[in-house]
Amino acid sequence: MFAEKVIELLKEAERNPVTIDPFNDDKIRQILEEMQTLFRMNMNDANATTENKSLWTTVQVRHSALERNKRCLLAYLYSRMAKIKTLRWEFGAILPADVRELLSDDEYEWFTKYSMNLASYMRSLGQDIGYNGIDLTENLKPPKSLYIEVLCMADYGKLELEDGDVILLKKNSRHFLPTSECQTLIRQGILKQIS
Amino acid sequence: MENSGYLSISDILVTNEKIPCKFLHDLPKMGFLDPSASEDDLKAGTNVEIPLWLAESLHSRRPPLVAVDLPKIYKDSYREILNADACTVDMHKLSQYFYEFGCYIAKHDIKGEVSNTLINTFRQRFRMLLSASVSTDSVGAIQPLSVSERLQAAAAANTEKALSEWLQRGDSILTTANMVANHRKRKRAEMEMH
Amino acid sequence: MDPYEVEFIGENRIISVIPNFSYDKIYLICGEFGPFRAGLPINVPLWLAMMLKQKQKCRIVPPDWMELDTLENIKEEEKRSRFFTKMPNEHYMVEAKLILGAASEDVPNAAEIKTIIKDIWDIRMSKLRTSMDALMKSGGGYGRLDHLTMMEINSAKPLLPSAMDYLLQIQKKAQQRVQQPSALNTSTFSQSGSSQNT
Repeated sequence: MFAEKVIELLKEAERNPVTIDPFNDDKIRQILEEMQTLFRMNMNDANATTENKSLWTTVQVRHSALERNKRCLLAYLYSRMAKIKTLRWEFGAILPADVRELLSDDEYEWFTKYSMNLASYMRSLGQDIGYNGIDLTENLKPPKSLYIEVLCMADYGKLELEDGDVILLKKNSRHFLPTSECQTLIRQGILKQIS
Repeated sequence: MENSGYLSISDILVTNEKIPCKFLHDLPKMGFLDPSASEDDLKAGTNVEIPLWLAESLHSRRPPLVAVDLPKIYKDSYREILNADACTVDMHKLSQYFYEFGCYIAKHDIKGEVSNTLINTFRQRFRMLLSASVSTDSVGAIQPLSVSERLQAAAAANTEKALSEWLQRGDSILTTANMVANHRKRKRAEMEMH
Repeated sequence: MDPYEVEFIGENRIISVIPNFSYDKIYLICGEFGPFRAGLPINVPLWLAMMLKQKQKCRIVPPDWMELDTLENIKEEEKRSRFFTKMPNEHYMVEAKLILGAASEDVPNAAEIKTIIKDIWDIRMSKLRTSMDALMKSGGGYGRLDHLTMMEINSAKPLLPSAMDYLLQIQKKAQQRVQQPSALNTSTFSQSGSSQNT
């Protein structure tokens, strides 16, 4: 049957709606080969239609299969693109190595450009009224308290606070910090709020 | 169903469901479409189940290359069961894309009864979504639902969960972002396997 | 919406507190409050009242409706009526949760009041579920939400609107009589921007 490989590819992508899989180079190459075969067969048969008219319908059927394959491949790339956007909002501008390696080179380039676009948009916000931009990835929940207690989940290193103090974030260390300065680290999973 | 667009993966999976067709003309070199035949060419008169996207494309040729038949779940006998009590049906087993697939099928149904069955079925089964969203046995309650019903029930269960947490807790705490948390979880699971 | 977002909106309601300190007028985005005189009741937004209470700077004056007889009546009427009855205010649940959570010692009969408010909430929530089911079954195109508070309406989302939308989509697509030329896999780009989740 036509266009079966590409369905495997999409089902694979659907299985993990909340995380991103490694870019499946290998399967995409196989799908492109299927498409090239279909295209070659169609070229041959299209040239032969003068002798055998009924071949024309066969050509049309293969053409539908080509379009189907194309649609599925594009949908695969598009669904990954939506996830890559989310990566920017949740991991930040710098991706951890184990996430970076899940993207193809082209996707990573797209991520970088998207990230830059978003950053310059956020910088531009509120400039007309004297602000130097707003970080839209912060303050996603209504404010409750100015300071919160957090537990460090990983060896992160030094963190410089706005008042100039430098604290060392070590795994399992506890800190009492201004919410505004640790909320991004909480979203990135480096700190955890203790209630 | 709101995204039935060109790039929608769910619409692609819906249109991958199979539908019984009868070929009206010979198709040279397409014998492989019929798994039971061994010839190179597909003969006119052959009955074979093919994916909806292919059937639609063949059906829309002038003249049409196939005649489309209704899949059995949209035929009288199943429709009677659904109209009597749709909640007894396990859509996950029967037809995971029952409504979406049915919307495509409806236009091949000359009597126009399929569309009413789709609407009545969802109206009746809405209470299953309601109870799945508050059920303590969420796995069991979600099991008989179709793919789109499951998505709606899961969204409702999230609302329900957020509300009961709000009622029970004092302050909300900040949490790890969704994709970050899931990525970590998956990494850990992979590490444990190796 | 997250319940904490609804709470945030509800926190703008004005309630009365009795401060144990004196201070000048304060100027906030939502208005001017003060001057504060120790021992004299003053109206402030709920969020400010909660902050002062946590710092032990005030006593909360319970709202008029947070009182056993009144609530008993509301509960009876809610039970009797087929419809939703009018609640003391748009954010009764937010007020109850915050005040009884942080300042139960300022409310006479706090434990009983907590129970009775929870009863009223439960009656209304189960009524809401029943009427959602009835609405869908009857195929009605709209539902009346008279006297439902913001938190209660929020609890029906996204299920009710998405289910009604879903039904409409099925109706539109399945009852399409005109046969359009099949264009399943040809690109008629109608790209919708993916909404950013949190």
